Amino acid sequence: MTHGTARNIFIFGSLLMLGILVWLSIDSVKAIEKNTPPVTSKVEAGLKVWQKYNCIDCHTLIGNGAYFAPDLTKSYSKRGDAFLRAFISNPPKPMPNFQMSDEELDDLIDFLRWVDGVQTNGWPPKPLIQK
Amino acid sequence: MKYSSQRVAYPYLLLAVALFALQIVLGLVIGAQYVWPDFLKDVLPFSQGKAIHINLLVLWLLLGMMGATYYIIPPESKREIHSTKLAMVQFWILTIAGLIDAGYLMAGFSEGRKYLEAPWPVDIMIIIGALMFLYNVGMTVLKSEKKTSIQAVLLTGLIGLSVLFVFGNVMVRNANFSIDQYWWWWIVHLWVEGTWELVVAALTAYVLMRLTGIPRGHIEKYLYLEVALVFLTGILGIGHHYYWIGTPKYWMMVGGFFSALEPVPLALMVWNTFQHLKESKTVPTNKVALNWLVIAIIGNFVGAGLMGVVHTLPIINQWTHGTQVTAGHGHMAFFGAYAAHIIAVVYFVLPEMRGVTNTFDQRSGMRSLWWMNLSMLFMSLTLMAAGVVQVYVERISGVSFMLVKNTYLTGWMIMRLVFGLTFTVGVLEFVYDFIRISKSKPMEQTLQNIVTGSFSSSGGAAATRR
Ligand code: HEM
Ligand code: HEM
Ligand SMILES: [Fe+2]
Repeated sequence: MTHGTARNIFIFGSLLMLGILVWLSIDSVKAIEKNTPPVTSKVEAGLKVWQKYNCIDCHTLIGNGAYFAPDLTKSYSKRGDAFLRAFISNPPKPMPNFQMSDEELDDLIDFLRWVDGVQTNGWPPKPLIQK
Repeated sequence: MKYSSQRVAYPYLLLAVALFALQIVLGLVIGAQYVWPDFLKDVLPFSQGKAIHINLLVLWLLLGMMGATYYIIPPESKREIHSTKLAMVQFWILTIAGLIDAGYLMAGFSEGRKYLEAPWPVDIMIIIGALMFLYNVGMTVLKSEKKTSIQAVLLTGLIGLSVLFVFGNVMVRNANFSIDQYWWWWIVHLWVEGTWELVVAALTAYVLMRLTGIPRGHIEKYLYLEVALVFLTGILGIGHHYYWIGTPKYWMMVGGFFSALEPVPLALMVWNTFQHLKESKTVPTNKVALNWLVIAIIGNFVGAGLMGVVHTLPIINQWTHGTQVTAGHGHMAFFGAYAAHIIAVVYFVLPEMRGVTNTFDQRSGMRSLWWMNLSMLFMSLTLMAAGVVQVYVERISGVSFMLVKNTYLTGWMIMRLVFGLTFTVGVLEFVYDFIRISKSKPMEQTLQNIVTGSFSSSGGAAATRR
């Protein structure tokens, strides 16, 4: 293979791949909007709370984040509203108590409920061995 | 060193090494918190320590790439850098940006996206710095008489990573968390499995050419093919992050297929390097730089290629996604592919800059190589093993996350900390060596030059530069 051929494969091959990625991304973003519950202003505020307290650098959400604390994708359906509220307001060590305002806590719970509704292609998988 | 403007590389490399050392200190703190959750918990909670650990990592690698570029662009372009003043202004902007970010994270603030925790003014400063950098390097290359493949690949990588940073930072600000994460991967994945690979491939080609004295034509022969394969597999390989985040099912096919091929270019790079080593007839004086370079190329293949491909298929990734397996791969890949490359460049640049290539003591460099690389290999193997245990006990058997972490995983986390400490031995040796070589005087070199009658600074290879 000559130098020129390799360069052309690089240039045109990369552009082709990028083109496909852009096309799939436009489609994916549309699909995500269908695969996720509607984003209300409270959910959006809850995302801001999630980001403000940097939760993602201990926990994972839809599997992205840190591995120091549990994944919270399905925490809403697993634990329920009341449990989460009590837990976050008075967490066991080593989780910090963020002293959130009632409004922040409300929004955050709404956000976690929203995440619970994301269509994740079945992730996290159910344990194979049932207790 | 032939061009005086190459000297602007020094502050960049110095800062990069300092931030590397600091990154490791934070790694030790959060590593200890895995074993003793209350360790320093009121001073520096885990989330803050982790944010600083990975922010410093990204920052020092970028600074290292910039310093390396400033060093190799003048000889590649056969002219001085367009403006050294601009390069220094850029350096201070980035330094201040780094300080603001560190202060912001220490105080417990965050923008809440992994690796991108920095506040937006810092992002703007980084973008300004990047623009100054691209302008400066771009002008130097444009004015050069003969354009080389190394220049082209390096610039494509640098421009690409900057464009992705700007584009990604705009797109992630979405009220829908899934869409936010979708674009977030455009930065994280398309950086490390795309544009950054181009940057290190170009740096490797240059340093290898100088160290082995092999003709440019041979070195550049496979360069385009390698980077073409990186993009052909890596761009759609992004799909391995789009299995479970609210994205369509077709990503399982697309992502699984293309990402499974990502090790191919990395293997080609290893093969190609060994071909060059066989071909080279001269023994380089700067062995420590060559050894670091070869180990970086192998580390790229092992950490990114092998330790990446083992959990990239959807049927496997559904179990390992977001476990210690991910952390194990992340460490070996970032260290092997990027950190080791920058260290290799440092070992090439520093002695040449001081004019001591033929005389400097290489023992500490070799010791740091063994301490760091063996420790990191063991650390990531430990994490991968811990991840497999975690998958089995938590994900397959359904024992709660915290119970698994506090029982089955503790032993592995102690081992990780031990390897973290042995890694630190290598880092200390390296930092000490950096200072030592920086301070060394080219006494004997001058003497030797007088004896041999050659006054041009040679590049470590006995052969002349082509
Ligand atoms: C003394 C050595 C080190 C120790 C003890 C250490 C420890 C840690 C710990 C505890 C985490 C957090 C994992 C989690 O989220 O649960 C982490 C994350 C990370 N570290 Fe290190 N680290 C060390 C060195 C390094 C080096 C040398 C690099 C790269 C060159 C590196 C790159 C990373 C990356 C990329 C992450 C994020 C990975 C992920 O979340 O998937 N670390 N480290
Ligand atoms: C030098 C190149 C690479 C670096 C620095 C790197 C680093 C990383 C890091 C830090 C993560 C964790 C991301 C996060 O959640 O924060 C990750 C995830 C991942 N990487 Fe890589 N990687 C590289 C190349 C590769 C390659 C070539 C493959 C596959 C062939 C691969 C496969 C994966 C997969 C499947 C994940 C997702 C893990 C999960 O689901 O939790 N990586 N990588
Ligand atoms: Fe990736």
